[in-house]
Amino acid sequence: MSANNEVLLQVKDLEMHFPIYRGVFQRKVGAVRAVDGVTFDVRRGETLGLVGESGCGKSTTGRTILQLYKPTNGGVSFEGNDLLKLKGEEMRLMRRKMQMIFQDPYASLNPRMTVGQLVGEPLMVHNVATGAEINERVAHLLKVVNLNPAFSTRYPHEFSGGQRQRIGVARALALQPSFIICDEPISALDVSIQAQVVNLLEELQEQFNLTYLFIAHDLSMVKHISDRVAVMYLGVFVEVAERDELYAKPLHPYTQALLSAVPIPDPVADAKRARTILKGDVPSPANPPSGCRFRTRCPIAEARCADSRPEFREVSPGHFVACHLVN
Amino acid sequence: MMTYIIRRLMLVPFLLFGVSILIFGMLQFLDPIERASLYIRGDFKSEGQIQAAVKKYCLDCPIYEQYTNWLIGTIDSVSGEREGGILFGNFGWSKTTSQPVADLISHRFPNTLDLTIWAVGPIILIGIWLGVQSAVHHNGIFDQAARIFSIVGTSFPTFVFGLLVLMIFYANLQWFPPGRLSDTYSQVVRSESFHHYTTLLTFDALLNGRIDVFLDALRHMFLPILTLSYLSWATFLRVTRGSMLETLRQEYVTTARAKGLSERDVINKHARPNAMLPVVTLAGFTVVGLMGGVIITETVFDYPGIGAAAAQASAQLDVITVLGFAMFNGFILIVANLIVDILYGVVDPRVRLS
Amino acid sequence: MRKIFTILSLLIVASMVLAACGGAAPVEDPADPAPADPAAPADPAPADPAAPEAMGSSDPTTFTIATFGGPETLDPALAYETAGGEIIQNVYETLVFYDGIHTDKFVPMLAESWEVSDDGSVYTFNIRSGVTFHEGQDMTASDVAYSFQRGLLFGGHASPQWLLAEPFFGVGNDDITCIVDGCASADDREALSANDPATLVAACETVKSAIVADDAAGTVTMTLASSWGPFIATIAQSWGSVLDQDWAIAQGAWDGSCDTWQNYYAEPSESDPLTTVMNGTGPFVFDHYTNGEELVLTRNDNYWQAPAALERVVWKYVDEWGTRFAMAQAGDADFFSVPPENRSQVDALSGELCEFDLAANAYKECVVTDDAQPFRLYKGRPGIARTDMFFVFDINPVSNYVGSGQLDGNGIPLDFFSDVHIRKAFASCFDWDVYISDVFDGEAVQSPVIPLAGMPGYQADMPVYSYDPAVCEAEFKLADVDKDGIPAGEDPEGDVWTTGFRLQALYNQGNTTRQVVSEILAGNLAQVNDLFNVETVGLPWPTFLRTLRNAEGPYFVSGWQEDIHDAHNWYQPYVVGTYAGRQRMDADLKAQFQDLVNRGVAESDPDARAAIYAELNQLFYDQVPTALLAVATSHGYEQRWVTGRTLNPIFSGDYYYTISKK
Repeated sequence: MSANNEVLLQVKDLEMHFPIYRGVFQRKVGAVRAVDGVTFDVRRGETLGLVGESGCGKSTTGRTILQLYKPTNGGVSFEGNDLLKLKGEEMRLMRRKMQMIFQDPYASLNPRMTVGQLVGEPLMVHNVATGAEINERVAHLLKVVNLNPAFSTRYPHEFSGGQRQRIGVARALALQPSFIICDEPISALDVSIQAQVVNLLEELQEQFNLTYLFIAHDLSMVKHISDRVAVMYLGVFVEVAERDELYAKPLHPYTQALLSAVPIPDPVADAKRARTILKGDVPSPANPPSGCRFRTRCPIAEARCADSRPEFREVSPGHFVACHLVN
Repeated sequence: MMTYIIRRLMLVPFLLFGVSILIFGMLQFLDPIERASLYIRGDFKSEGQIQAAVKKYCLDCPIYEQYTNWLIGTIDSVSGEREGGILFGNFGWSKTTSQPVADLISHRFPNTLDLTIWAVGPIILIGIWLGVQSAVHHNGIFDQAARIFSIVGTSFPTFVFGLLVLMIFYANLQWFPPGRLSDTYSQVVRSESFHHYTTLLTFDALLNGRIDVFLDALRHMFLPILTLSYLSWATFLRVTRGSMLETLRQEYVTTARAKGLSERDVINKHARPNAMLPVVTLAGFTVVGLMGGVIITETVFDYPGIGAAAAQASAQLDVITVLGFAMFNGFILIVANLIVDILYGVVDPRVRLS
Repeated sequence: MRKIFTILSLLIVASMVLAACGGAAPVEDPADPAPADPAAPADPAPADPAAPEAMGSSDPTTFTIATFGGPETLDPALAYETAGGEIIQNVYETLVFYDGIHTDKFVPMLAESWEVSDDGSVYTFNIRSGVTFHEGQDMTASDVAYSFQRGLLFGGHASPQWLLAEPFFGVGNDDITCIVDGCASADDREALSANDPATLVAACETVKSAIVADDAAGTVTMTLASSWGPFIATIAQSWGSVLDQDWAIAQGAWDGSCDTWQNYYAEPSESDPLTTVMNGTGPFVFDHYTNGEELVLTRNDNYWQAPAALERVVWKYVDEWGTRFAMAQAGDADFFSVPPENRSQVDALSGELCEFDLAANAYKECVVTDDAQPFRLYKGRPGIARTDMFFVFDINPVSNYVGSGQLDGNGIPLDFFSDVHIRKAFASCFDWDVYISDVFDGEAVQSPVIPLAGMPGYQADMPVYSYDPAVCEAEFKLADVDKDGIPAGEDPEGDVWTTGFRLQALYNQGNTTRQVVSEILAGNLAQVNDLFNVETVGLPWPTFLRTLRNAEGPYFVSGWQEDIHDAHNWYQPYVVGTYAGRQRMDADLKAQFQDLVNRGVAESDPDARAAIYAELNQLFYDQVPTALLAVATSHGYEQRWVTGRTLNPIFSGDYYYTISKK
């Protein structure tokens, strides 16, 4: 994994609030703070794993980066370009370089289009290729993702979940992007196929020097593929570290809880280790707790956790954490 | 696909048989004398008339015999000619219009079809356009305005709206008259030199190179089309809008945006076609409804389609004519449903016709 | 595509906005077309006050009539309704025709003149020469004879031929079958054909010998069974029209042979070859009939008189009143049928009023009331139809409408109405004023006698029944329903006055006239004695017709519209014919009436005839088998640019030869 230090993507204080309207006159009564101030970098060639429970804002973070949502606040710069400042056509062109693979291989492919159309369409709209060239490129892309090029005339519903996800990958690769957001690409797949897709993604990363933001809802999924891992809770990052560091020495109580939920292969050891079972439900992002977002479920929370929001600080090189109680 | 169509077509006679049994069965709720009285117009003059009708139409025969008479007809004992028999295309005599029902249908149906063809565009295309725009500008000013506009349309009873526009655009402004053609052009159409290639007036007018006749026909169709459209838009708007909103929430629409498609392409190429499935169903039923004749609209605008004729026949208890229309509508419905089913396959590749 | 969407929808939105702004236009509350349009405008074309210049019709040579219900048949031998009669009256011609507005004066038409034998039974018509049919052939005496012979042999009760059958075959013989097998096979071709061929040929020969053509002399001689007062009036109607024999045979009508006539007998219009084709001698030529849509006549430029002023007469069959109203307002309809409930709308747009003067029996001069309004209104002339209340003397035992069927307070005996005092009591409990105001909005007059004003037998001063609870009560007390010889008022065992009764009065749903008649009676009877219960029951038309036919209702309310403007056409059905039959009138009463009717129709001296009918009127008043209600008066409209209209009430619709537009 050829991570270097060139920063490809820089996210600063990103906020994505969805307004809530009520009543006859559709007055704005509040907002869902899906992403509430997130700052991080992604370096060229690396894979940043982004982990959190459902509803914590990780997918929204991904989509907001791609400007599929218009962020409420903050900045996203890609290869030094501030994406928020790009207008229609410029942004459209920028999309060539940043693509997304979606969680649901069933819903993310237009059922009325053949595989060839699905994979070839980006080529056409960006005028990358024309006519027969498109067909060639499509065939090539299908081969790359280990699909039979003859499938290009078929419709998505004729494929299995793993095959569909590979179609999604081929589509994402079509424009030769440098950055791909993988939004839980394996969560909807059978366990037997998950590894297949992860391996494919790794191969492709090496082959095309891709950078991934790999979103997943549990730590076990990103362990294999990530260079660094970020943990997100209720719209904010709670911990970011190199993969090995994070798994070996999780600092935030939430990360610790997540890690303790990851099964380990040795059943004896698994039975012996101490578990942190989180109590209660995730609070509503429309009305998050004061101070530390995690305090309502934190086993070690103190009074000050309710008073002030813990700073997201670097406690050791490359290891950031947002907790009052970590030194 | 072909097998599917053939199989469906083979079902048609059985369905029609069912329809005919149903209609025929309902008639049996009346006793023979009561049914005979349906053959006598106005106040009757003699006992003999009723007896003759009972005898002639075999109204006191067993049901199966009456049914076969209706199906294959009877042989007149004096003249030796076959009388009736829908299998021989003889649907009986229409008292209300004094002609065979088959002639009535074959004369009226092209008018209804002509109206359908010209009305389908405004109704469906504008209806869909309104729905798509409403969904795209969800909760925006266009959305609210379009919804209010179309709800007003649905809440109008057809004849109130019809008479309103008739009073304004005809009685006062004299722009769009009722009927089929002005008397002058009606003479042209009846003349020897006017060829009836398709029996559809507007198309025949164009084929004969008579733009004036064509325009006059359109002028007479404008108000019916306006009425039908305005009253249907709300439904199309609602269905299209709902389906579009649903589709716009789909992941593949996000995918399309992520691909870098322009918003217009995202809506027109990805969202709209996928939102069309329920709209195709609605459009199918709308077209079938139009082809079956739109009773109130045709009546208000004196448009000589089968709807107006059916209304007239029903109002005058012209059972034979009503029966003929019911059979014809059954046929149209079955064929149109088949077409809609085939269209599904075109709109959505996931639908397999087998 | 999107552009087209946008433009189209913008256009439509724009028109909607326009529509909204023009909101001042009247919104109609349309009603179903009335089953019949009573009281067409009638009588003398009044001196036409000049309509303003601005009101000229856009097309002065095409006359458009917006109405509903097209003709059932165009065959003059078969047509028996005004829609067809109106067309026939303008395309075909008769030997004699009505003289302008007069219902009892005639002018020669296809007959140049005629002679009547002294005994009144032989008519000799001198046929006009130089008259051609629309398809070019000359009209001859043979054509005239063929037309009448065909009609008589055509027969059938659904047709008007009974009107001709009686004068030729004798009173009561109202169909050709009556001279074959005593009417046994009436309306039944199969039964007729089963008769002995010789009998059939003989019947046909009877007809042929009664109507004889002499082409060389140009005469047609008609020999009647006996003298027949209204004969000329009878043949002046559409069933007296003259057909072209060769043309008719070519179309497939009766071939003139006495061997085959039974095969054409009682032909229904659906298989009659002359249902949709016409070839007459009249001022207008049949152009086409698009069934249920429109019928067009064009001017006969080779007419034997001066050609008509109008070039085209177009009937548009428009079922919806609102649409007809719009056509009238747009000036596209010169005549238009207005249902009674919509009259107020049109009255508001009438700028000229022509009122009928009952005393003078003529329309007064029309008065311009508002020069800005487009229509002319005719009102006040009594029509030629009436709805009356017929008591059933002997109710069918299967009836479900007589309660218990006994005099026990919970029903009526089947012969309830055979008691004259019961009939008089019912007549005295009916309120004509309420009836006329509720049903006719005040536009009707009570009938004193069976025939209409102007006919022999009409007596304006005849006493009439009127609402009088005291008389009603007195008559109930005079009745002897239990037939013990003691009037109800004195009967110690109790009778109708003390036990009361319950009966169900029937009407067909939607017929408000019938409904209102019974409701008026029910209310007034209950006032007189709260033991008297009349329940009104609405039945679907087929069931109602069955009850009429089977004499199942205690009494029925039904209408008569005259066929020819003659007293006989009124007396016959009321006291001996159709209605008397349905009432199951007592035989001796019917016999008394029959004698008077027979003498009346045979009498050709008007005064002597009137004297006979006066006797009949008195008997009718005393016995009151039927309560005579009221004749609606006219209330009709036309565009004010219409001139030259001949308002003869006996016409089927109008006679367009004299009409023009300016």
